[in-house]
Amino acid sequence: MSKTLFDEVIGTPPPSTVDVVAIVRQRRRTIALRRVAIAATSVVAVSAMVAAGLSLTPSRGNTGPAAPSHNTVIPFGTLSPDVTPYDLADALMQAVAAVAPDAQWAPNGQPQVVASPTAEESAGAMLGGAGSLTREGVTRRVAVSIVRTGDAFLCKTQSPEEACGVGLSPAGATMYIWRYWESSYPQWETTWRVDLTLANGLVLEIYSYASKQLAHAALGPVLSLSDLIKVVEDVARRLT
Amino acid sequence: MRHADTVQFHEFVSARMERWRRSAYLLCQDWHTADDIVSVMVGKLYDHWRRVREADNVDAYAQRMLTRTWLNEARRPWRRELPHGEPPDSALPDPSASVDRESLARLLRSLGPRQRAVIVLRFYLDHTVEETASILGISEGTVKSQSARALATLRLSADSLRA
Repeated sequence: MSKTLFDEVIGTPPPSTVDVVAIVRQRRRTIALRRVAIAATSVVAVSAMVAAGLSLTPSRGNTGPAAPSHNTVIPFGTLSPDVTPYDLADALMQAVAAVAPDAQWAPNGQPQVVASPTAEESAGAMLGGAGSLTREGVTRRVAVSIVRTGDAFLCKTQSPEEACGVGLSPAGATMYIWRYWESSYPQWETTWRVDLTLANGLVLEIYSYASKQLAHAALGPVLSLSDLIKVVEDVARRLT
Repeated sequence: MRHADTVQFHEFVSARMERWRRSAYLLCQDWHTADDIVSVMVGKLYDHWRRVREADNVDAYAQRMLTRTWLNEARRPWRRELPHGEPPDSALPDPSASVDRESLARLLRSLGPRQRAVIVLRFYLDHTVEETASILGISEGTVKSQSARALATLRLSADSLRA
C-alpha cells in the first residue's frame, strides 16, 4: 500500500477537536488539585451510592467474586432464548430515550451490535450493544451486555476513589455498582457500571463511560448513576 | 513546567498535530476516536515532556505514545471495535474500478489492531522494522511476521473485492 492509498482512506480530515490549550490547562490543574480531588471524589462516590439506596460493601483488597448466587433476588423473568443482540441494542436505545430524550446516538442514530463475540474479544459477553451517546454537546460511550453469572466482575478496588456496592434496584433486583479508576490513564475516568441479575443465571451489565474528550469541559459520563439504574431496569423489562 | 518549556511544547505539538490525527484515524477509522486518542497522547506527552525532549528520536517517542494509546483503547471492553452482525448494505464493487476509498477502509478494518498498527507504521509513516518494533514493544521478527500476514490478508480481501 502506498502513501497515496492511505491518504485516499483518510480523505479530507474534519476540523480538529483536539484543544491543546485546554489539555495543558487541565493537566496543570490536575497536578495542583490532585490531593484535594482524591479526597473530594471519594466522598462523591460514596454519597452517590448511598443516594442510590445501596449498602456499600467494604472492598479494599477484596478480590472475591461480587456476584453471590445463593441469595440473589430476581424480580425479572427469564430471558428469551430468541433475544438477539439487535433486541438488546434496541432495548438500550429505547431505555436511554426514556431517561434522556435529548440524547443522540452517533454516528448512525443507534447503538452498534455485538453478536456472540469471541471470549477473548468480549471479556465473556454473550451479546451486547454499545455506542457513543451525545448529550448537551458531550459525547460518551454507553454499553450494554449480557454475561453469564460465572463471568461476574471481580469487586476489586485499587485506590480509595474506586468503589463497589451491592444492593437492591428500585424493582427489587440484586444490583451491583462499580466506579472505576483507570490507573493507566493520568486523568480521572469516571465509569459507572451497574449489573442486574436476571432469572436464568445471566447478568445484564450497563456501562457509562467518561470518555477522554479533553476538549469538553465536563469529564463526567453522559448518564448519571441514577439514569443508569433506570436504564438497566428498563432494558431488563423489555427483554424478559 | 516553565513558560519556555510550555511554548516549546505547544510548538512541537502544533507542528505534528495533523500527522498524528491522520495516523490515529488510520488506526481507528473514526475521527471522533482519533481526536480522542490524540488528546490522551498529548496529555501524556505534556506529563513527560522533559523526558520526551531528551529522547534520541522525539517523533518516534511520540508515535510510540500514540500507538500504544490506541492499542490500549482497542483492548478495553466496549471500546473495542464492534463487529456488525450483518454487513451494511452497499453497492457491488465495479469490477473495472480499482479499489475505492471505502473498500480500502474496509480492507484496513479487516486487520486486527496490532496488524493495522504495523501496516500504518511501516507503510504510511515509513518507520523501519527496528523502529516499528521499538514503538510497539515487540520483536523485529514479530513485526516482519505481522507485516507479512497483514499484507496477505489485505491481498486476499482486495482480490475478493475485485472478484
